[in-house]
Amino acid sequence: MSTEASKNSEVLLRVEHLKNYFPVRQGLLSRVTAYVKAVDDISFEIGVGETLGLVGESGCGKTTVGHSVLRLINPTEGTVLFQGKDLTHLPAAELRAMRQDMQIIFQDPFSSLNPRMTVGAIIGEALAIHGRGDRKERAEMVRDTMQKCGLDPAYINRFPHEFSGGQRQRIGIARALVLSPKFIVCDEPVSALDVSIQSQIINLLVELKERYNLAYLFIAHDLSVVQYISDRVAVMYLGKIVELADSTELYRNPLHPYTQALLSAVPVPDPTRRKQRTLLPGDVPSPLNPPSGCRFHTRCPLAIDICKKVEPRELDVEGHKVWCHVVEEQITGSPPSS
Amino acid sequence: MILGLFGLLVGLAGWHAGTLWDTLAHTLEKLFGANVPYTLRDLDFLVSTLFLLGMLAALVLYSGLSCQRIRQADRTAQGPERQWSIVKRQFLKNRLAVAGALIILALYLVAFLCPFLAPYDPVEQGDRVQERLLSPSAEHLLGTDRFARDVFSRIIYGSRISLLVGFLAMGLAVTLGTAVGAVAGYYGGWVDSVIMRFVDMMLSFPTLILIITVIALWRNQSIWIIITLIGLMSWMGVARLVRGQFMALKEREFFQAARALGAGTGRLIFQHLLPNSLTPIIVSATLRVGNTILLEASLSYLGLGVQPPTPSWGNIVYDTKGNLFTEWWMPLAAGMAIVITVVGYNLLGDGLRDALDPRLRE
Amino acid sequence: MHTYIIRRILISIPLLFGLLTINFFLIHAAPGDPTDIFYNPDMDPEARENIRRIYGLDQPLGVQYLKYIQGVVLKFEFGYSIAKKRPVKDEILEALPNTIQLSALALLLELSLGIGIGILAAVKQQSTFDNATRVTALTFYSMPSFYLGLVLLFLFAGGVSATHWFPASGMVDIVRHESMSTLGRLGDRAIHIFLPSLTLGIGAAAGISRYMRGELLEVIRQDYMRTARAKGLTERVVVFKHGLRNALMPIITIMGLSLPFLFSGAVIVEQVFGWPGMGRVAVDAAFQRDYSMFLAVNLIFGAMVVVGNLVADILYAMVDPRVRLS
Ligand SMILES: Nc1ncnc2c1ncn2[C@@H]1O[C@H](COP(=O)(O)OP(=O)(O)OP(=O)(O)O)[C@@H](O)[C@H]1O
Ligand code: SF4
Ligand SMILES: [Mg+2]
Repeated sequence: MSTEASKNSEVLLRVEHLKNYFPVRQGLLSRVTAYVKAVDDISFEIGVGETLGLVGESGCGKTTVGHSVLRLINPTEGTVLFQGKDLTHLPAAELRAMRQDMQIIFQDPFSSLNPRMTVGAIIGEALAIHGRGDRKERAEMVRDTMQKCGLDPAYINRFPHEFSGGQRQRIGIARALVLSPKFIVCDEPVSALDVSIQSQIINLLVELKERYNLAYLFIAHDLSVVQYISDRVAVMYLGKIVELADSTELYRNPLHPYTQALLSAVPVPDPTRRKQRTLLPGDVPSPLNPPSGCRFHTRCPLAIDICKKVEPRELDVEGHKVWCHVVEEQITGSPPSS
Repeated sequence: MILGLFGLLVGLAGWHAGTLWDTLAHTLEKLFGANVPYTLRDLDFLVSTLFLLGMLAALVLYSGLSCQRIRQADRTAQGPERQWSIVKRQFLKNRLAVAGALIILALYLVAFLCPFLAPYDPVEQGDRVQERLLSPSAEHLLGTDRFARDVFSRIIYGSRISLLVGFLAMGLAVTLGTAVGAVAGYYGGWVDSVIMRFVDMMLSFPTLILIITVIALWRNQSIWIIITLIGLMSWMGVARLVRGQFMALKEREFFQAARALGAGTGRLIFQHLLPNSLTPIIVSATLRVGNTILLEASLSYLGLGVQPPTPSWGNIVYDTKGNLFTEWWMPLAAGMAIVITVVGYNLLGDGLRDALDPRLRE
Repeated sequence: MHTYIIRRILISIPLLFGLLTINFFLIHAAPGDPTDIFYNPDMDPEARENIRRIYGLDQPLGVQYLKYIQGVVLKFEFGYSIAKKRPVKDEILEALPNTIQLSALALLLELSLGIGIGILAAVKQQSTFDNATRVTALTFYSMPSFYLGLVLLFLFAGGVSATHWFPASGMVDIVRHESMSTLGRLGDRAIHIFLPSLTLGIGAAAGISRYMRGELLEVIRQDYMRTARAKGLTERVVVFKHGLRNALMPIITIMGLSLPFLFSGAVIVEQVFGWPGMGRVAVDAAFQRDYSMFLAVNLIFGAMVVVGNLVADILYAMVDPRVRLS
């Protein structure tokens, strides 16, 4: 049974054992004394037209994953197969060609647009880089894309500062969309927006995804945002995925204590169904010195002895994956061991 | 605004061509053996070239201002017209800055119109017995020096050297500094370390003494050598600035976006990093002109700068410092000219910074 | 902290070697050679060779370079000044203390004047005082040091006879100094150093006060200042206690950075006031094309700048712990 890249489709992106360690230099000779293990051995797949939500607290390595997948930064280890090609060792020219199929939308609509370029130049830049069409055709394509993203094409010669946050985010989406990519990393595309505008942008993304069969890696720091748009959701904690399941399954039946904690923080629309909020004690530990064993043990309400020593392994219940000793014991009935 | 500048530019180009023609005619005359000193004529041409370049710089400046208005808008989210007027108003409110701009403008006009403004030929010596070391009078506003040359005329012509040195040396320094800083900031890593160590080393050279050394040893005091040397010793600050800008801009998301689109090095630098670094570069360039002018003046004061009889403010002071306690107006007036020029540039630079740097605005 | 200091020192060493090397080859790349001043057209080639041999100029450049480094590093030996007909070391040891004396006094003036005025201007931002000092500082900042020197000379050393208070040149009164009492000698020195150090100090102070004002204004605007003010502290306490400490840190760096300017300024000021220091030595060397003297002067000024920056950086790291980590 194909657990990953569910349902219908063929695999578009396969990430295997991705690691991203940032060296910390110290001392006389600037020797590398430690590593920030921003991403530590994670694997996942995304199918054609599928959306994978990636959720976790600030600093857990979501952006690093997104950037590694597009090779905006070089991963320390692991492979990123996009349409069957390993991006991590692709020569520069081929990589550039591949970029037409994979794009990114950023969090901050103010810093993500070059203030010195017009909207037309920003959206059309990709076309110029990849030599699509002549000047006229490009302008046409830009107008077309603006329309699709809910922007008035008459604004083509305006500068980004003349737009509101939501409109600017639409410009960012248009920029990513203009090459008709197959895959887009959305790095917290709505976190910086007003709540009233958030849903507009999410609706736009959903609409575009359905219209063009786009695949998304949709990054967010709280579960409520991803719920609506994702087919599957991965929950990250300190550089590791702790739980990965179908969206509905995850929300209905969260297994990992961390996921449960995150879910309890989601505001519940129905006041009669009052849940107990599991508030996590303490702060997120530094990825510079992540806790041994299960990284969550310093804050986990269920932690047992073994959690401090042994890293939990993957448990796969019909496609619902979880990494936790206690859950493993509950489900398999056998005591956890290394 | 742009149209106005453009018109000005076209007009200047015409004027420029006229001077070119003039120079050509005189060169021909020279070939046929007329016995006139041409150096100043040639300078005429040079200065008008610089005037043209200055106008180009104004255009760049304009685009820099528009960039700023954009950044300004980020903060206040007001209409674009309003932003532009804020910058303009800020600049105008700063009356000192406007004064600086006017001083510079006036100086360029003086340099440009030397032949019409100077009552006498600056290098021609008068009667060494009767017209030597005259006190100021209606005929000789600042008297005459020991070679019986009109000091006022010499000071007027001296403006050309200062403006020439200031502009070209700064241009060289800014170009070099931008290039070096861009490479260091863009590539980062060990490239950056090596380059920045080199910059540190250049900064520890005693600038003036090193220039003296080279000039003395190569026995060459041509103005071009001096400009080159000053430029070569003044780029480090710009390099640091540009590097810092690039480093900061590389963290911005629009830069990552361009990378994700597959943009190459050239596009990343010239489309994304450089245009967004322009404002601080222009401000620091303006503030730097003053320093290069001071450096040239110091060299001339030591007798190691531009050689007489070509007048430069520094060498006029050098020539006449022996008369300080008697014909004091000569060295003091020439020095005053330097101070006014440098003050002008610094006022302008301060004003630009205040107008462009939102941090300094309440 | 220790590793930071050690690393900072280790970085300075190649810097000094780079300085020395570039200087050496720059000077040897120059056309002509140091013995030129001995030549006359009818000198025979053999004598010429002899002279070259005596000064070691016949050896390969690499050997000369190594010997030079050896001399400098091990014995503080800079070779022989052909123009002055004495070891460079002697000449330097005579001139260097004079320059240091002048620069140190100027630095003191620079810091006290510059910081003081900068603070006052920032506290009374937009006041008449602020505007006046801004214009004054800008004017002095834009003034070539020789001009300031000449103006001071004119005003206080002879140009205006009513205010002929200071001597126009030299370190002491050559004629009467020897016959003075100890106190008299001290006064003699003070009266001689006054104008040169004032010239050098005012120019530098102008730059510092401009910087100081900007820095303080920046700090004053920051949040913790606002908090301090909200707590009800008076303006003066706020500025001094909270603002100053944060604004003074960059001043340490500026101090390090102002050293090269101070030394360059010293060259000019010494020339104006006939002060027998390194600047004079440098300019003399320029006119006499004295190779070994050039090398030494460049190297010593460079070294003083490097060491000055080193000290500034270390001081800075002591005040601000963030530096060490980066
Ligand atoms: N270039 C880098 N050098 C060193 N450490 C880095 C670097 N980039 C990221 N990190 C560290 O890696 C960790 C993960 O960072 P990342 O930006 O991926 O987190 P994130 O989940 O996207 O957080 P946020 O929600 O704040 O965007 C952080 O602790 C961060 O400090
Ligand atoms: S492994 Fe242990 S510490 Fe980690 S989540 Fe499960 S129970 Fe908590
Ligand atoms: Mg992030």
